[in-house]
Amino acid sequence: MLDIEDIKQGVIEAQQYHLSTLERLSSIESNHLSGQVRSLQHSINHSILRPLEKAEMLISIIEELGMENIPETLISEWIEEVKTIEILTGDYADDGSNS
Amino acid sequence: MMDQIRDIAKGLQQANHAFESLSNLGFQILLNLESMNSSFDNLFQISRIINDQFRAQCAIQSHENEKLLFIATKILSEPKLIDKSEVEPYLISLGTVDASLRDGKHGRPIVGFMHPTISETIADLLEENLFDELRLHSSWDDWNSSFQRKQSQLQRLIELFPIEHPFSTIFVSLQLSLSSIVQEISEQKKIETTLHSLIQHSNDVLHAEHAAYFRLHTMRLERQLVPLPIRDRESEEE
Repeated sequence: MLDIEDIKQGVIEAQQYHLSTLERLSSIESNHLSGQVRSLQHSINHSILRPLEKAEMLISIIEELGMENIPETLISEWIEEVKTIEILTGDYADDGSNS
Repeated sequence: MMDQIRDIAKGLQQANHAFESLSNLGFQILLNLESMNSSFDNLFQISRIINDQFRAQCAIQSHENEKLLFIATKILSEPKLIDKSEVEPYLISLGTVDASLRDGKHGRPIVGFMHPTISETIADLLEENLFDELRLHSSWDDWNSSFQRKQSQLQRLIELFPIEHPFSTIFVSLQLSLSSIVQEISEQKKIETTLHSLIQHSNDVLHAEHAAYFRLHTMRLERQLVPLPIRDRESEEE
């Protein structure tokens, strides 16, 4: 059974963590690192934050409608999708300082 | 003897009313199934066939009932007929009805007759929610309620007839076949609700790839959505 609340919390924490990483990256003012910084920002945005946003939207629809009110084929796909994205959410709760 | 025939005639009259109610139920189910089949591309033809069997059985029972009722009323109006030898086979038919009447509620099954207790229960049961059926079915919820009412009526009818009675297995089959229809209706309701929510959420989507993802699901659901069945008013009036 999918623990929506748990996953939702994980998604929020992961988002906060990676957004703060992005903030830190944009504060780096070094010409010789700018390429790597942009590449890293792009990777975080596309490979982590976008899927997390998608998971957030799916969770919000599931919460709004209730799992039992979503067609069987769709809900099983969405659960798989959310579970896959869940891998991106580690234990960020105590790591908010991003040190 | 005449008192007995009078009781038989009364029982037959009540059974006649019950067969009429059952026949009406069969007609209501037919109308619902026709509407469903036209929306779901004849997915529920088996249910239609089972309901046709039910309607045929109602016709057989009614026909036999009217024959027996005619004999009973004829003898009541002309008591001298009892002494005529030609009437003897008809009296034997009334005798089997009398035996079933004396057996009680779950007596031997006689074509064209059912115990007055069962007749009364059927008449009361099928008169319940009669007005709800006449209402326009303007949403999946209305259709769901209509089929669920039929299912619960069939469930109570199953309990009324012993397994030996020809109605018994027909009611069971019909009830089971309506379950699959209720399931399809519930799936349609889910599709409709999810589709509505997806369309609403697609307005909040910030990135093109998410928009494409939700659009794909929206299109898939739209393809699964069938038009809401419409009941044919003309055939209903017939």
